[in-house]
Amino acid sequence: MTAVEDDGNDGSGRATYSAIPLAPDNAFEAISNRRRRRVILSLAHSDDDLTARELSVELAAIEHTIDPSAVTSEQRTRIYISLIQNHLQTLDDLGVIDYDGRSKSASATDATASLAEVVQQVTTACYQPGGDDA
Amino acid sequence: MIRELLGAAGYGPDAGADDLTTDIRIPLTNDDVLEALDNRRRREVIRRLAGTADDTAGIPLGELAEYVAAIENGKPVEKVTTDERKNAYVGLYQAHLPTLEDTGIIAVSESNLVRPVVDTQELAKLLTLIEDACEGGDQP
Repeated sequence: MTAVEDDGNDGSGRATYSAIPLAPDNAFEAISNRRRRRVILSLAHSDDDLTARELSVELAAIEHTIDPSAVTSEQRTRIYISLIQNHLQTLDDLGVIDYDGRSKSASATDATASLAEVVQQVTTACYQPGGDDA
Repeated sequence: MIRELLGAAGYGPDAGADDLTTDIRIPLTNDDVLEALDNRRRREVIRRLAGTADDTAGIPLGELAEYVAAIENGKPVEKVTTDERKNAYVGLYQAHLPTLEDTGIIAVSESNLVRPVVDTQELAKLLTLIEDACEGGDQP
């Protein structure tokens, strides 16, 4: 074997880390809204695309702290509308997710996981209750 | 990624990879913090306040406006024009300082002195870490 090239070290003596491939303005805008943060976390933790409907059930369950099976159609619809009229397209425009408005299906981009990590770190750093859980 | 940055920046424990909580503690909700950080002028105000040690009297609004205008226009404070300063002043006065007050980060006195209510150094640390991790182009 020759020299180990890919040892998780960038050659400068420091461990490499996953950077966020976004401009700071876009990153801050993406995570400034609670529902957008939840979408980022869900997509980062999902191996598959998620539809707006699936996301809206998940968000409704979290917002109302109930089981997804207990989400009413009114609870789901309110969130569904805000997702398809606003947040999913915003996240797509910012480069944080890929959203197809025709199939209403969202998938992760190369920015999703690193931004989800930021959301979790900020949430951990903030110790005043009343925010959302990451 | 953040924790590696913290380590590299000398904030984190050497024998690595404790999470951010051990380093940055902010007595606010994530909702409030992330709303506050979602604007460049607000971020610069936080940074400016963080650079002032225990200034109980606070920083005059006019001085903050000059500081923000200088950064926005990429010039030293002395070169900021009246219009540039006024533009930043109005934005801070009408929008950004009220937001920072509502989120519990600052207090503004009747004579327009701005002082931090929480430890803005912690917030500045957090926002700089996030900015430094972003590699997708410069600020506009």
